[in-house]
Amino acid sequence: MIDLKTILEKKRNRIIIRVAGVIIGFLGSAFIIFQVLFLYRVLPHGGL
Amino acid sequence: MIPSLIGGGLVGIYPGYKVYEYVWKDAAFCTSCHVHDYATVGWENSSHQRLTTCHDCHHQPLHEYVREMVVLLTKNPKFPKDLDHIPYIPDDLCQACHISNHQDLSTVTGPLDKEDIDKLHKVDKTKMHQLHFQHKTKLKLLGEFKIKKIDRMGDVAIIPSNEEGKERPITCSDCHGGPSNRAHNFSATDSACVRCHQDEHKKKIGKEFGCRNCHFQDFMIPTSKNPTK
Repeated sequence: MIDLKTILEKKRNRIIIRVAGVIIGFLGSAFIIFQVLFLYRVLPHGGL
Repeated sequence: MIPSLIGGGLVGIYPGYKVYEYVWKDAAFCTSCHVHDYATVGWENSSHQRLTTCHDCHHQPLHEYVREMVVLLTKNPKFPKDLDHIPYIPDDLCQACHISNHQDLSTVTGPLDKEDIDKLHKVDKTKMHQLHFQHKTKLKLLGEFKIKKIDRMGDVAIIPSNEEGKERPITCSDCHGGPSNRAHNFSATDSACVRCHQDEHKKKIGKEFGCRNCHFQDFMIPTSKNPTK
């Protein structure tokens, strides 16, 4: 017999994972885009 | 998880670009930390204000950004009293916009498009600028002048002397830099002319009218329209 509590818990975990995925993707992509454009501007002027 | 990452990643591209745009192209980002009122006001009142942003001219290697953060936290300089030298601007920064057919426009990120930059007054095509480019000077570079601590405290501008060093080509800063507290005001001053031309017009006319009243237009006339050429 499937326990309702377990079903809800699984559903909640799935939502948390999806939201976390969106947030990580969002922040990661924003950070990478910023870094790539910033380094593209900075590196020609002496790099590291 | 993967579709969520991709979805979030796609949405994140736009804010990532906007953050870059704010950091690199908006003077408001720089002036939020760099509290140098006299320099900001100088830039706001200059012809560069609507045409450039800070990063058009202010470039530095990556490690300098890290050093800047450390300095900001440990020994935050207060300008102009902590400015121990006269600002010196390398020629290539000016040349990016002000000479014709300049190859390296990678530094220019401000509001001007390439077509607009092409329309700007090109100094290598004007009579007196061209003449100065062809000559050399023994005057010390502006960046080599150290300002004594006691002089930094006052409101009086430090005018570079005509102290000599090695022979070198004349740079843009020699005429368009100059007195220490004129940050971001690049109009040439008579004091810059006098550094080399101290023996000219010593009589009334020089004292009364200065240099630029008579010679200014020679720096703007295109060489092709010069009747003496």
